[in-house]
Amino acid sequence: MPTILLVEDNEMNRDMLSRRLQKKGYFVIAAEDGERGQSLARSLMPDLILMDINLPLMDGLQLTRILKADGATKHIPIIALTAHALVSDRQRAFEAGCDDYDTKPVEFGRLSGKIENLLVARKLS
Amino acid sequence: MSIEQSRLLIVDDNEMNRDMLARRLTRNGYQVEVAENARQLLERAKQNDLDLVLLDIEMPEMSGLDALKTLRTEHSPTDLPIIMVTAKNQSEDVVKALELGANDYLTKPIDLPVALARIGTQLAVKRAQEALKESEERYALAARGANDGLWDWNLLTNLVYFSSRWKMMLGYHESEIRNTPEEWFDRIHDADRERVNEEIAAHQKGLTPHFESEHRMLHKDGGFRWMLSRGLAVRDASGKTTRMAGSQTDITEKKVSDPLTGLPNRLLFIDRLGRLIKHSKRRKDLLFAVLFLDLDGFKMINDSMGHLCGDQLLLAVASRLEKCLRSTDTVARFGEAITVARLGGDEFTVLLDDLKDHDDAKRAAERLMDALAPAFIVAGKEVFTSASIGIALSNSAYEIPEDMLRDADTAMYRAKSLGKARYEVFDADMRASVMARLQLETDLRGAVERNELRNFYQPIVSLDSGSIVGFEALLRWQHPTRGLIMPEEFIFVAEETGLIREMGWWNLQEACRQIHSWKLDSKVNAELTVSVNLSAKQLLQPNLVADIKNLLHEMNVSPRSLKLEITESAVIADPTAAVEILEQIRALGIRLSIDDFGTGYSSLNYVHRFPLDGLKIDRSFISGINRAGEGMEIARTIMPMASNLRLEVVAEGVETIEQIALLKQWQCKFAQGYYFSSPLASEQATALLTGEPTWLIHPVKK
Repeated sequence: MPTILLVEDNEMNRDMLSRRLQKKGYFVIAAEDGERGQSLARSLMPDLILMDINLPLMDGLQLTRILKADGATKHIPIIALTAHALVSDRQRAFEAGCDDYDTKPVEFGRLSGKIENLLVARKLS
Repeated sequence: MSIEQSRLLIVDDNEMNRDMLARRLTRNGYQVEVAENARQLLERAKQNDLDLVLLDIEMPEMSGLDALKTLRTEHSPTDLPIIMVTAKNQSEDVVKALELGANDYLTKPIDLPVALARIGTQLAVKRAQEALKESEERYALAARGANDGLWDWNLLTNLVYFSSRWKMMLGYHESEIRNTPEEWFDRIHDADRERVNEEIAAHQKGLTPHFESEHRMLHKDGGFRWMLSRGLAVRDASGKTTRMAGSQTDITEKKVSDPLTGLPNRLLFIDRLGRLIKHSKRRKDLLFAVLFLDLDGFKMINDSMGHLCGDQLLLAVASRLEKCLRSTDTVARFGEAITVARLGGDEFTVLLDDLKDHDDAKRAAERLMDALAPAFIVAGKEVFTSASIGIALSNSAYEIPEDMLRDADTAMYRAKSLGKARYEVFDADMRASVMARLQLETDLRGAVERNELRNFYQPIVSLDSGSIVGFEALLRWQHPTRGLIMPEEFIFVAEETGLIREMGWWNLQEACRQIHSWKLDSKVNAELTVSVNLSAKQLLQPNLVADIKNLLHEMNVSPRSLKLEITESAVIADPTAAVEILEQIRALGIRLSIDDFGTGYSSLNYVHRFPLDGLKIDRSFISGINRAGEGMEIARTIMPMASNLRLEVVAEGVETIEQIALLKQWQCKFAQGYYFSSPLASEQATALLTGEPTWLIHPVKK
């Protein structure tokens, strides 16, 4: 059962997403803010991180940069989630080091396809 | 989801069609992928990120229709719209595809504007459905007002971060709960705490991949809530846990209610009953009752109409039970606090609290039975059902809720056995018989091992010659304290507990051993047979035929020396399976007969369909011979029919010379009964066999 760390401050989004992920067979650990997300990513070493971009304390892109710069965590795939569908957002996410990107409200089928792809790719590499 | 994000998959074995359509759709802003066959499609669909599929009906290997059928087992039409592509004039295929769950269809050659319109419509519907589903989910979550709480426990400092939601779930404000583990563990229900500690320890030791625990937590309001706590441990290089983090979900609702009916489930019912019993220890005058309902014949409805219909019926029953008990006049009569619960299957329970009189419980049972009497409409059909109800009344001897529920259950069984659609109140006699029954069951479980079973042999006599042609091997139980027990007393328990298989097999083995020993005795007629009963449960046991074959071989017994007797009910339960097994047994050379003929379904109409060699007329018809009653008529009519079917008839329960005279007159060739001999222990049977017959088969002329 792969473990997914979900960093998301909105309680409703967090719960909806974590329920659906659990139903899909993932084990989900959630963090409400960037700092806790950082500490859980480092200590839990999840198989994948779903990262909301707008987070209190430390925003998601900043956290992504930190995790991707750290040798211990840089291999963990990160999917950025943002409310904006602007091309510039996508660009910024990739620049920060995110492995993939999706917009909110999340269309779950598509997101889970992306998660699956990254987990498979990681297993292969 | 804007158009540019919509991902379409075209499935077509024809490369030109595929590419042309792909190019045109790409030009119209879609992300297009292609697949050459159904296999590729099924593989691709697993990723769950397709928005729509255009599926050609005619393809080699797996057709589009078969692919559609397979896809629909995983993806609903709203989940993944599928538009079938078909040649003109293939309306049959189109109809079939729509029945199988296709959303729409296009005919070849494809008219692009039509295709774009249909794709657009399906995607719009899909988007609308998704938005609706999401808003419903949001609403459901919001309505519950119970989002997940988070916790993060640092084992080095032994401090726990609890999110404000975690605290709120237990009724507390942010500042009211500190960051110590005690805030969590002290609130766990006493009965759960030890287990939770074990679950945490097991995960910390790496014995479980995750920490997952369902337990009760004390809420600020004084009640308990069921929580699902999940988490992961973080270990340092030495494997020691330094941190655990996870979430907490309120699952109270799911935990205590039956998912089908939404009624309280067994857990909640037991909880409420337990509280009431506790309360009654302080308030001695408190009267209450438990009603245990079981629907009559529900299994038959479920089996014949399917379990979806069965579920519908259960729902309808649940709602009638509730309505009936909650109507204003009922509430006034039976007190304020009524709990209707579903224990599972077709079992419901009702808890009536604060009765004025214990007789009110009986009146409630009557009302419930009346409420279930009118027809239910299930899948457009009228269905009738009734309930058997057992009642347990409060008394000071009850200490735990399970006991009271068990007694109501026992009373319900009594109601069933007294003819169903009625109620019975649990009483001291029932308690005594429950205890006796439990004792019997316990004793019986060890009977085979302790070598307490015995075979007794009752002779079967030729009415022509008066000599013994065979024996029936009858089971007896030599109970260590109660002495010899007849099968009537223990067979039903053996049947219910499944012990019958073991005991039946013992019976057969011992009979074979006896046959073998008689064969060695030169004074014994070589044609002698021994009949053994085969129960319904044994008949359907896997490997029965092979086991019997091996047994005969091991014991060096000829199959011609063995006869097996089965009851009508054993073959009627599953005639097709029974016929097959019986034929295999007969193929071994063993003869078969129907036991207790005439008591069950009693028709010669079906007897000819089974591979049989004989039948035994039940004793009840033979005893009727003296009284010139109906039994006599039946016995007389069986004879010529049986002889037409070339079945050998044995009359059971023969007790008088007059019966023998009539049986002979009707051409019945064989008989068994107390007139000749009671069932005998092995040595006595041998003595009888090797001595002179002691009975007359012709009336003495006076």
